[in-house]
Amino acid sequence: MKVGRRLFVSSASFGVAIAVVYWFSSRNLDGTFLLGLMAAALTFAAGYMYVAEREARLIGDRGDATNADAAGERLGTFTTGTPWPPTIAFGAFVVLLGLAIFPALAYAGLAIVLFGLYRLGRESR
Amino acid sequence: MTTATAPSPRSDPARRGIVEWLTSTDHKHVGTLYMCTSVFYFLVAGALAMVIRAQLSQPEMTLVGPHQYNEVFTLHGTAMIFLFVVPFALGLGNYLIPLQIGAPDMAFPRLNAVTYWLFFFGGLTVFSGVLVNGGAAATGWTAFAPLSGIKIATGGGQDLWIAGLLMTSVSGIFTAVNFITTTFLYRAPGMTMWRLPIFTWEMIATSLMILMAFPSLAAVLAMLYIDRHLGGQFFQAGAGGNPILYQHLFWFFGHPEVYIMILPYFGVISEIIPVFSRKPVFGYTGLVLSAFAIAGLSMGVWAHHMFTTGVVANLFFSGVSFLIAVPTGIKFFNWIGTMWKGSIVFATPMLFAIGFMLNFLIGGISGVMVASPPIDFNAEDSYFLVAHFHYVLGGGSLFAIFAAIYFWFPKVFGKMLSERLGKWVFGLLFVGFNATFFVMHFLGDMGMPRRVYTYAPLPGWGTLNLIASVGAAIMAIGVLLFAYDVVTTFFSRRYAGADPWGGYTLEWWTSSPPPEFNFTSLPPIRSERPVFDAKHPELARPKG
Amino acid sequence: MRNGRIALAVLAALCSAGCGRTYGLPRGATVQAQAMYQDWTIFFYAGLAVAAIVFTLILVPLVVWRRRSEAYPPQFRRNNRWEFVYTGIPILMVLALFGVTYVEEARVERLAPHPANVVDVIAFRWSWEFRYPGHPIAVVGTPQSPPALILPLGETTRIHLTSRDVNHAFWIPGFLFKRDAIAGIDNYFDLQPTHLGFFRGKCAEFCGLDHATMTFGVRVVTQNDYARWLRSGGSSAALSPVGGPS
Repeated sequence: MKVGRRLFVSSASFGVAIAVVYWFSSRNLDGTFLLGLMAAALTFAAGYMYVAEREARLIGDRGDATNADAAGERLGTFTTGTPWPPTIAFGAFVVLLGLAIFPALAYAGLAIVLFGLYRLGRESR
Repeated sequence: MTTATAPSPRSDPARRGIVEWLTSTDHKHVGTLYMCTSVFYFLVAGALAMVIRAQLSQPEMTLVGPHQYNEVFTLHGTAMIFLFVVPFALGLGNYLIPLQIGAPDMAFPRLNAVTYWLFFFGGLTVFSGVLVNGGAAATGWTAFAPLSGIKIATGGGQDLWIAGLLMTSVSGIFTAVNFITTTFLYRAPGMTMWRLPIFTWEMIATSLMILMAFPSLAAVLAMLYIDRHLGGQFFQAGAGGNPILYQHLFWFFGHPEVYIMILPYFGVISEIIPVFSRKPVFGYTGLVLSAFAIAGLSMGVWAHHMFTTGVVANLFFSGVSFLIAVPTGIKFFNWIGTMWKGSIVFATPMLFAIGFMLNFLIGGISGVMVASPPIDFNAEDSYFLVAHFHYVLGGGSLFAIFAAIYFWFPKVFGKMLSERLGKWVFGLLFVGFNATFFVMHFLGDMGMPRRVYTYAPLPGWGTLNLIASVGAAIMAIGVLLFAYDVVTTFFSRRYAGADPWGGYTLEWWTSSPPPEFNFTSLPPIRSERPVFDAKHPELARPKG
Repeated sequence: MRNGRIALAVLAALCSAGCGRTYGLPRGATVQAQAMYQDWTIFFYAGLAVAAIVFTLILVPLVVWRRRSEAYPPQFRRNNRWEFVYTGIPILMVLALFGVTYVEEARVERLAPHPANVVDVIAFRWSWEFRYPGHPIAVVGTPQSPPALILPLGETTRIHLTSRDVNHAFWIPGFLFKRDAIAGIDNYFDLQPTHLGFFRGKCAEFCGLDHATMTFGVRVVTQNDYARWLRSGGSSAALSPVGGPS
């Protein structure tokens, strides 16, 4: 995953550079803080790519790989249909409706979200 | 598969029941839902635009009162930006990315479904503002504090706006996570990162921007809510707060947002122009690197929306804004290089792609002009600015959306839209669009501010506004013709095969529409156009 | 394609309609506006040149290399020389444009060390208040009765701008200038008018219901008239009659 690593490392470096240049051009705390947080987030991702993905050997990264090479590979489990995602979204909708116009709804919405997450988790097992 | 017959019922999405659609996690269903919902909001926002243009067609008209007008342009902007241009791109990405990289689905299919339903409910929430006391939000799509504070925007409409956009923000962030993870991890054998289609690369750059920018929007929305209802003083002067803080946070999101609204469409153009020039894309590396240059630089220009506040580092933001023109120009020259010495086919997708280039060029030039603070001091918040951003978003993104629809509709629905009607749609939209928005450059120079429900009968203002309104009517006819095209296509027998255009990327290898889990076979992948290589082995050379 | 050419013809017609009035942009009636106008002129012609070149480059392939046969054209993907050229030239262009901006921005924003006059401008929903420190003059307007700002020709007036409530913007198109009025922020800028006359002013930051009618007037008068006006406590009878609005 060399390309992915390079992507995040160069993004993080750019983030640090622009935050520094911005601070010295403007002495503005608001913007520097935002750029600094951005640089920190990118650094986190770059660090993760370095440490955790070092051993990744993806068939997609081998330019000369053929379909035969990938035969029998288990990609993962892909669901086809489940009602819990729309339920969770609906619950979030009720929470935010509650915050916007009718506070008691927010609790009901939270309950729906938690219930949806719980069933989603059970489905994964 | 090259025969063009009716697809078998099992793989035809139009035949499935509603429950299947409500519970599906298939990226093709999610993508289709995104795109159809966003086009619905386009029609709504377009109708709102017609109200605006009717009201402004002549001075001192009274079709709508000031408060209704303010709601209309707020919902127009909010819907076009948050509920149409961005979700359509995310839907297109959802549909195409797994196909283009040779994967069976997204990395997180259930999370994917959540993101669509958050968008669905978020849009409903924003518009439900019309049902509450005081009406929908009426503070512009930017909702600057203190105007959007509780003392002035007293109704629930503003809170519903906040709530709806919090939902769409979270939706976008999760989509970006899905896009990056899927592209990094699920590429087919031989599909190295440097062989990815340009559209997929642009979606990665877009996803990076979403991850960096959307949290800022979520934060400013939450802070606005706290100011409004929980005794916060973030944006109130005189209590330790600062209205400028709102603008910093909003535009730190708002500027990358506009690049989020264009980069996917740069990708669309980069897919369409090579196919209809019958050549590979020119300058692949430059296109990829410029996407990330734009993404990175876009995070550092936010206060060019704040030049007139007098309290930001104008020269820093001006300088970085000029820099962004360079990678954008590189893309333009790469597209020209693709067409150069090619063999151009004027199919409808290509017409829209050419229209995109012509329009976006004008929008880009006016953008470079307002990147210079002395010019911006006059042009900011005038119709010159309205002209600029409509040229890049309307003339740019909207035209690319039509190009994408005419190009990929056969893949998604298995039938070809009408080439004959498509050319008329293009013509009406191109003429109407330019008639509407070109004159706005002059109106801005002549002193017409934006977000005004009426204007005085000054010399020339009525005529130019009338031209703009007539242009809008022409566009509306074009859109209606497009709707007619879509509806009649569903009843037609113009079945598309797997590859009606002579496409290059993997989505054109599989049937139209693709089966569940996308592929029953894959060609060898040795370049950025594996389908072309498989069909034209004599022309397939890894280095050209 | 035909439609594209028709559209271009319409565009050209519209452009020539605007030619007589410099595309509608006023020349600018202050010293500061000259810097802006120069900036605009350079950018405008640079933009026109870029548009002409790129439009041509787009249209040439559409005319010259239309599909004429089934054969595929040469499948080239790179040309290092041209890629270098069209990366390098835009970089040089934007550096030049930044240089122009740097110079003109400094000229527009320059604050005179000792301005001849000071006016406090306070924006509120939905009109303006003009106060003249050192003189008992305060002009408060309404949307139905916009206030007039009186400025002396040739002298530098320092404007001190702020807001009493939401964000507004003080825009005088005839001066090619605007500045935001924001509660809690004191903005200062100079205006040194170069022409007598009447100029329209308007609010240019959306501020709610009557944003569209939050206008004001600017009258540039001779220095004698201005002195007389101040002495009379702000009576408009002290001013010579002026011609129609410009």
